[in-house]
Amino acid sequence: MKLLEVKGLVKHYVRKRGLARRETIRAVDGVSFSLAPGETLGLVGESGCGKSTLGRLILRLEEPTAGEVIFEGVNIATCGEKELRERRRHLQIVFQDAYSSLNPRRTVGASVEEPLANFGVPRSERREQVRELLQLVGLNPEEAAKYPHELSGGQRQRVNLARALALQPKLIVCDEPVSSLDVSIRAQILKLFRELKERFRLSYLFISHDLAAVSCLADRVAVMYLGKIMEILPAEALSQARHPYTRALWRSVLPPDPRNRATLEPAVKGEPPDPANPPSGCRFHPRCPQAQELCRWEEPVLREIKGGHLVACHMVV
Amino acid sequence: MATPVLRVKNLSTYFHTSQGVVRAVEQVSFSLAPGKTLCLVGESGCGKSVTALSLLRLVEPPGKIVSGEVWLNGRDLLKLASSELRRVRGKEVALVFQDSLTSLNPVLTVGLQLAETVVAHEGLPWKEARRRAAELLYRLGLPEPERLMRSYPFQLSGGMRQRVSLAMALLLRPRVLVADEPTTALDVTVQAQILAELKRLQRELGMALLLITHDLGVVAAMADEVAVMYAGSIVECGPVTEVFERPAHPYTRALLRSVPRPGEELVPIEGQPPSLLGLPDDRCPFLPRCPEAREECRKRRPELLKVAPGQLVACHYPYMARDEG
Repeated sequence: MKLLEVKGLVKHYVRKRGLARRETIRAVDGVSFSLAPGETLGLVGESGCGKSTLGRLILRLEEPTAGEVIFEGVNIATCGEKELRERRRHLQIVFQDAYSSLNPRRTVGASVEEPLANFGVPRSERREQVRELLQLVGLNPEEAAKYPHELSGGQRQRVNLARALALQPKLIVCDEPVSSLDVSIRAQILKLFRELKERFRLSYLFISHDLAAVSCLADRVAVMYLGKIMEILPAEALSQARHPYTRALWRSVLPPDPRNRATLEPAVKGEPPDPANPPSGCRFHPRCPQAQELCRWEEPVLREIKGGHLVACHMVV
Repeated sequence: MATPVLRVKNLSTYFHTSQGVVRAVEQVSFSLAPGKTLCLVGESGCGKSVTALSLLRLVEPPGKIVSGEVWLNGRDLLKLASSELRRVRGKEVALVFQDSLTSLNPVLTVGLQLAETVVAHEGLPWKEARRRAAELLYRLGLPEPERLMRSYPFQLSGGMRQRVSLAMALLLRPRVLVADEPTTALDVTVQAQILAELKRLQRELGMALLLITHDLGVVAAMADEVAVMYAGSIVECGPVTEVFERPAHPYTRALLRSVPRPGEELVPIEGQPPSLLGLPDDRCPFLPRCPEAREECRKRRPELLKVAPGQLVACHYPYMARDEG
């Protein structure tokens, strides 16, 4: 039984250019994948590849242009308001900016209590639940009386996580949840994510540009480029990735090891092109070191090459 | 070792706020040899950026450099008249920041800004100045520099803008480049390109680089020497391989362990960096988070002392090579 199944998901935005010109930005352009209960999928790619949009589409914070998002058997992309509200109980999101996702005029306790109140938990039980939730994320329950500005970045992200956990979700979409944190705090929060996942058998869609962080948490990793998934593979197979883009990303991760520094030569040149005018054929071909004539004309499909390992590349046999 | 091109001695910068004195930089000393790279590493608020700004006397009130010397080419920059300092900035020591959008003028074309720098400092004709700018942009991996020079900063992507800022800093071929998180906001593939370009240019120009970063991967890739800062002070410094492979300070060791590495257990540092406001100076600033803390650490702030050739550490109980078993 799948917890989440995304099929052919598309999101196009229209950008106005001057008075009459309009162009379509293909932020997410036909994405399919699925997630089992308790499984974590890392979603990686460079800025502008559509990974955040994809996360928002799954919660229907954006209306998809086409495609399906089937969560617990219900198509989130088309279901009615009432059904959507009910599903969102089990479907939560945590953002990168821990500060702006909390109401600055509300105490931490009130913020964590809000989802409980919204879903009809009686007032008498809420206070105790808030205490438990704060403890669960490693905060002192006394912090409930504080305001967000009185907390550090790491503590704020813990509060957001407590809020997300309040309704016992099955899936949490995490959009760069540790990217703006300092090294020492980042490790604390990553560890917390992992503990909670194991304890409650949670699933995460863990969106990040940081491959090293993703590989610590994810079971599988999906690599996005210009709105498309280029490769999906088990996290432990990242060092044996097949797609030239995944390999380039992996090689660009700088290990904290001064003896291993010969690898600074860039694996790919240039930057991702404009998603309004994606290249023909394989979207990666202008930057790909292995591109052949075929890659310029024909778009490769995402196909399975081994159990659980999918690649969209003509050059992989 | 070659004569250092930059030598900083006992630099302290304080911020006098309404709530009290913030000792952002406290007694920082280091030196940098020509063509070498020193990385200043630490978490936000540890004083690494204020150190960079202090070198060029760019700290704004309520911040104030309260003591120290910054020797560049036989002159103490902290004692220079402002007219002389202006000539030194850019020409002898240049600065590049993380946020490239704010360091470029939004209403002037890229080409004009770059050429203006050369014209103002070296009195070259405009045409020649533009040619030098175009050449440098090309070397920084920006194709079609002529077209790029006709654009405005907002028309460029983050990676391109960062390279333009870098070009601006390198145009006058400074002897020392101070780069504050120059690749932090960029994608990893672009980061790798810029770091590689920086290294190549450094080799060609014999330029010394003071690189400020929180990213230990960047340090490992770039540094000859590394200085780890915590709560306004350097707590450990030395050759990068020594410091990374045999960290002597508990903070350095913990920091290295908290970097996610594929397939390895994450070991976070508990707690969080202290507030610099009213930080007590009669004890070790790392004390509340330190697994090795003992009585002595509560009584006296440790000084930076030598533990191995070239390696200094500010800890009463440093890890020594023999502890590693």
